[in-house]
Amino acid sequence: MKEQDFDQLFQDRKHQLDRMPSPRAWHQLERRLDSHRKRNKFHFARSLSMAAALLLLIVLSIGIALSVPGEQSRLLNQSPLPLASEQLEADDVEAAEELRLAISAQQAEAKRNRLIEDNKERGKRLLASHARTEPGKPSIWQTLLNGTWSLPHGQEGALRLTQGPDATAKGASSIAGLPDFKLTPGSKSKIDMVLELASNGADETYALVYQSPQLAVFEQASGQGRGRISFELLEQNRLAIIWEKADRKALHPVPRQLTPKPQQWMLHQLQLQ
Amino acid sequence: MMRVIHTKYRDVTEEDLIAACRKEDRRAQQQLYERFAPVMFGVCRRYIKTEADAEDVLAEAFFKVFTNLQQYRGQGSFEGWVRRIVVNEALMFLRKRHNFRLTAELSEADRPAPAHFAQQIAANDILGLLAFLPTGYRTVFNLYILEGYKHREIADILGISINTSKSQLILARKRMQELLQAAGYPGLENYGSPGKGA
Repeated sequence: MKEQDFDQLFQDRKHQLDRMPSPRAWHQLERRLDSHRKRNKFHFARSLSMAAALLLLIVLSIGIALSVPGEQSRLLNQSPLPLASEQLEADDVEAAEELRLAISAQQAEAKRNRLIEDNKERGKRLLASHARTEPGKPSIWQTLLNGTWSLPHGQEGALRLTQGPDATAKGASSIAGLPDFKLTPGSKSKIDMVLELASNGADETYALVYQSPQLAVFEQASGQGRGRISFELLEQNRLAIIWEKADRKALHPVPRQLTPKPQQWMLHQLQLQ
Repeated sequence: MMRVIHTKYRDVTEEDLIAACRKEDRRAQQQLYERFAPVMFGVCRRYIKTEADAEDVLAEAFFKVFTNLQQYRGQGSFEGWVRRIVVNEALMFLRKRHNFRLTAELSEADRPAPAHFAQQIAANDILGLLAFLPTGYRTVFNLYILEGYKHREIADILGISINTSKSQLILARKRMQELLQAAGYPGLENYGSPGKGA
């Protein structure tokens, strides 16, 4: 017999061993398929529950973030100043001011530029239109009108705000460098206020751009140059007034930018009597 | 005995049956199993000595068929696709119990065929003789002669050299011839003679 014939002998009988296996094989297979199906369902359910848990976590995180008033106002208002003001120390005003300048220069430059570009006289856009006063706490305006503010440590000078019959508030200041000013409610909304300075005959108007129970920020809306005035209530009945004014010469190299170095600023920390 | 099959899939085409199996329809899976189980069980028995092990391998192979049906794109015959899975599963089973790289079985080639085994085998049941071959011989014999693989492919599959594959086939043929002669199978007188044998 040749080799090919020998191989052919087996190839012809290739299916000689074919027959249906015992039922045990199918039962074994069926058990494997059942456990596989259960495992798939379990994996699907587990994946679904993990996705649901993740979604719930995200929703809870968003809910918590929105429920914190301070965070909310900061996120929505995008104030240029709150972080620096939060870190003001009672007896470290200079360091706080440096911090304020650095942070405000970095964080608020773009926002401020856009505001100035959008500025049309008093039409400066109001950023804090939704700012609210916490229940039980007086607004910054109520606090400002309550009493006379004087310089600490025996320095001369004081500030007194009085409310007029037409809902205006007029400030009389004897502090060197701080001009008299008048607060007038604007026409846009209840908190839209305009601060008018009476200084050396200059007609400068500042519009309220940010407000919280502790902080009010005005930015210049008319007049020469650009400036910003902040009123901030600190702990222990102290008031900080920060007046930042851009040097007109600084406007030429970089138009419409409030650069930190040429700013002239004054700060007065008064004790509520 | 196998339980009675529902008639729902009795006359459906292979494509429809496969589509139903992809949806994990248990009746379709059983029908598909029953269509191919006899042939695939024959394949398993050629590789595996005992029927119980062959059934275990068959069940595991069909489990892989059903859980990997998405990979079958309809190119080529479905039976061929299933057969490859069954053969691979059988080889995996053997690998767990046998190291194909060892050639210790070569010495067994000189051992004469047990007469009492051969006498139990009918002349027309020659595939049953495969069970009397050592694992290495039987595997190479199956892959080369009955599955049509080349020695290079067998060497890759089993992780052995081509020469080992060839020598195992020669010895398998020799052992099988002895078994056939012992069983009184006619027409083997000239096989293995000079110029004609392996």
